[in-house]
Amino acid sequence: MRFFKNIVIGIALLSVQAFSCAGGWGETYVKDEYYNFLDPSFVNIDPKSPLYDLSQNYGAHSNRWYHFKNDVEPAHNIEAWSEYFGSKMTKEEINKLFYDSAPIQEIYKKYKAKINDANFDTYINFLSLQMPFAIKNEGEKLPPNYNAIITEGIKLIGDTQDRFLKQRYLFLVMRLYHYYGEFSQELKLYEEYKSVITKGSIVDEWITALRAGAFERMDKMVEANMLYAKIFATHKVNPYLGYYDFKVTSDANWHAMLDRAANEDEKALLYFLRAMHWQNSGIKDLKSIAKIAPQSIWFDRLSYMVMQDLQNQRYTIMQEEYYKIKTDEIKKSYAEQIAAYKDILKAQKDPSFFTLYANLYLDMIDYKPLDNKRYKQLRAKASKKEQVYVALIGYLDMLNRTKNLKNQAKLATAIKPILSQLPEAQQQSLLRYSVLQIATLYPQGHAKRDILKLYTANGSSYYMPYYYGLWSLVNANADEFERYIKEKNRSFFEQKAYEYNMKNLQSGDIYKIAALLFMQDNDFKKANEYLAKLPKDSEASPYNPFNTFLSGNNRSGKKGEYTQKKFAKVMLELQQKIKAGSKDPMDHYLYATGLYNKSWFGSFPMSATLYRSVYLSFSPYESLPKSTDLSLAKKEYETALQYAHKKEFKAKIAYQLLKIDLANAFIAHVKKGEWAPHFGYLKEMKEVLQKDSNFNNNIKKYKKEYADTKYGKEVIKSCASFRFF
Amino acid sequence: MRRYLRFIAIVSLFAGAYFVYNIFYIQHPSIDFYHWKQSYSVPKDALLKPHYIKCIDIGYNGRDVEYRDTIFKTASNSKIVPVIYIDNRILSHVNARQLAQNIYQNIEKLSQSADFTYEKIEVDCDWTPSSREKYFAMLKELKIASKKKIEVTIRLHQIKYASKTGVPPADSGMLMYYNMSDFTSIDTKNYILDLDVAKRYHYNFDTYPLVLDLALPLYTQATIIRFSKVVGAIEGVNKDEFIKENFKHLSDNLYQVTKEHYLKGKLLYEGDRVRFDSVSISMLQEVIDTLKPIMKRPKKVVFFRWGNFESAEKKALEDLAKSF
Repeated sequence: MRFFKNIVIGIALLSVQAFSCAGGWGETYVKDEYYNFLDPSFVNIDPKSPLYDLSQNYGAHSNRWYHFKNDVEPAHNIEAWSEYFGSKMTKEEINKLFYDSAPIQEIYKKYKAKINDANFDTYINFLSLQMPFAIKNEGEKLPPNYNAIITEGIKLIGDTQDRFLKQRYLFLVMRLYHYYGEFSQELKLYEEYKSVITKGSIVDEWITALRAGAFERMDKMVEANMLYAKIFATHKVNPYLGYYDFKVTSDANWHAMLDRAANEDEKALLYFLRAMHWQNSGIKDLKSIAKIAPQSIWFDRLSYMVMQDLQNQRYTIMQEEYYKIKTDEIKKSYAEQIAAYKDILKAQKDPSFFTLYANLYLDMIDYKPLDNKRYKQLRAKASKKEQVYVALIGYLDMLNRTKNLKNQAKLATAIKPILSQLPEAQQQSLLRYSVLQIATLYPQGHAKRDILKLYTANGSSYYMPYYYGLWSLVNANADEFERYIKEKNRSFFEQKAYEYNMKNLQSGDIYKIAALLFMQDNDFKKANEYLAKLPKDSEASPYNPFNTFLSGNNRSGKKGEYTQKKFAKVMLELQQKIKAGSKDPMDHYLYATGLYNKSWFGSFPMSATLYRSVYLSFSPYESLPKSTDLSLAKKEYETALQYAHKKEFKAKIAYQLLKIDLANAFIAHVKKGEWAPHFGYLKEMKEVLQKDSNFNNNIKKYKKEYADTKYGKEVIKSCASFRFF
Repeated sequence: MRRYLRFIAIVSLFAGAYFVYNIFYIQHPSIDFYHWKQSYSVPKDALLKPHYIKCIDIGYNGRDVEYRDTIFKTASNSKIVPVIYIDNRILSHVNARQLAQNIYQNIEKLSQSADFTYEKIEVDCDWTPSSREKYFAMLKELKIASKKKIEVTIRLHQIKYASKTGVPPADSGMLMYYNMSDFTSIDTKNYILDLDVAKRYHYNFDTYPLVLDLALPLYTQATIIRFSKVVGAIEGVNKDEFIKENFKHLSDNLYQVTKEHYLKGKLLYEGDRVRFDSVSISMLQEVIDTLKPIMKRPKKVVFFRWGNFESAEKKALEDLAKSF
């Protein structure tokens, strides 16, 4: 059982570390959290757009930026130019012309003859002429020919007949004004030529963004925000500007904006954008939208964002409860928010599909009975595509009511048709959630309870790579692992859990894991059996694991090759001799040395562990790795000492015992919650050792007893510890 | 009678001597201020221009380490103490020597463009056991690179638990005697200054190896509580901004928002609670009276922060410092 418990702790700890390293961009809502039975299509959000991927880390921000600047905008721009050029240029050529890193004049030379358009020649000339001005750093002054470029641009707007090029000149000149802080001029130019702009075109979107920015810089926030709202709601290439730049800081501005809104739906949009600010409240603004425009898509979308945040909070509570962190305050806050949110949902007279779904979904994950009346309403409201989610709510209710493990088969029958209709990420969510609930049907302490929870711990493949899985087995119980891998007739859910747990392992890995676990448990017979099944032996250690040296942690001396198989074979032989009652001190000494060198402290630790951290640290939630347990090595050295006659050999054995005392002093220090001192901080090491009475007494005893031996003299001369004690 | 007069004369002599000693020989702490904004625009003729100016803010955005230099729009004092604020999180993402060199180069650039000189650099970082090694190494490197005195901010818990937190390798320390409570707890009485909480940390002052100056708070803030959770704070709020139209006074320094509105640019919703945290001269006097028996007299008392006092308070602040 401990095998599974240790894995759960290990992976859960990893999960917390994985989530806790999120940085802060102050965004409130998390989309891809642990259990997610929501779909963005409920509220007409394009799942491919990261605009609504508002998780609290830098990744969301850069994904959003990259998606629009690098993918969407170029694609739309190329499409527009493709219409202009017709068959003269392919889209690939247009991409090359406008998006290559080389200067556009250089690239244009290749296509000039092909395009054969004097107007476009002029456009390219102006584009390259104004380019240095479009890349301006803050604080830089106006270059000397700036005004000449502006004049040229305005002339081109006036003279050019081609509407497509005319509006692009307008954009370029407006942009120049913008970059050089001439916002009034920029807006004036817009007013003069706005009739040339094709509504809904990419140029229209660029120009609208410039105008919003100009108003913002002129501190006309009402005008700016109204444009940002339009940008967020309707633009294809730069809607993220509406999210980032929408700012309200006064009652006067807010009320002025509400007064200007054309209808209640637009007001709802303003509340939605206001709620997106990280310091504001989605629930409070949702309440306001519910009063004015409950049928608005912005009500549903904000509701969707609130649900994401509530799920994320719930997950945080689960994590913190596991680590016995006080959760009273966050649970109280969570309960208040849920109550406030549900009040808003329940008050809806004509609830949308998502409102009904959210209400029922919250009941399900709180293990409440299904509200049949609302469930019927949900079924009636659902579109064909949404029917699978109606079935999902019904399934969750069935799962909640399942109190007997024998009903797993019924659950499997119910879940399969739902899984086949869900996207991959939600399939995993539903399976993990089901497995989590089934796990609770096993009593506390039952191995299956822990093994099923393994599967639920972290579904993100990024955070669960091959080596993390092995790391989590580091303290596993070998016999339990063996029983697990040999089990037959697993249930549907248990089989899923097994496949997932083992999926990253390669051929032979299961035997390797078993061998290492048995090596750790000093069951060399079983270790040898599993090692024999490996397709190839482990890499050899260049150091003889039966050697002991004064310096280099036994990683010195004559180089030989000891593979794991060879080492395990010798350890088995020694173990058998000792079991047979050997009184040969060399047998006990070599066995003890093998035990020491396969430990965390020795020269061949990877012979008996899946993972070895360079840090020795202790957490109250997990035990120290088994590889730090030197008790058997100590016992065998003591036995060797007892049987040894020659003083030189005794000096050697006694020195090994001192090394174990030193290791134990560090372990005792680490168990107090401190990091193990390292060789960069000799002062700290000395302080730790001085506080350890066992080490203190024994090192003094060693000096007294073995100073007259050749080995003892060498030890006292070479070993740093002897200088301090 | 003669005996009586002799007694009076002796007492007066001692009193006079003590008075003369106090005036001429005891070095009373001087006062100064922290300037903490991203942009320095203190008027040239301002009363009590600050010497402790935050010049670099080094933060972490989840992906990159960001250096934000203060923009000097007006001239500062010719000699200042540049303060570097370091977000503890960046320490696991930087090389100590590189960080020190970046800091020094940035200060040098600023000192030239903003025309100030400096003999000491103050570093403000609330280090932890896991960042300690890197932080201490950086301080050593900064000293080598700059050849200036290095001062560090010290929090109360770093004195009480000095054996665990370590003592930074600096020439001096600035004890930050404020913000000792938990900002996120709704039970906190006054996040700026709570003497009951502070007193729990009044240990080991006598053995703490760094010479300490004292930083005291001089600001107000409104802590916003929503759904029983602290969600933010608004600095520089006055008590008279809690007007009846928008607030209901619940108790002591706690108010409930009765009408949604914006306060200093931040949105408050109906139902939010707001705790008004402030500090008075009498509270600061109490701090000094409590510290006097356990802490060596500092040379400076530096107030956080500049801009939060009226000219009339100057004497009160000086008297406060002198009372140490």
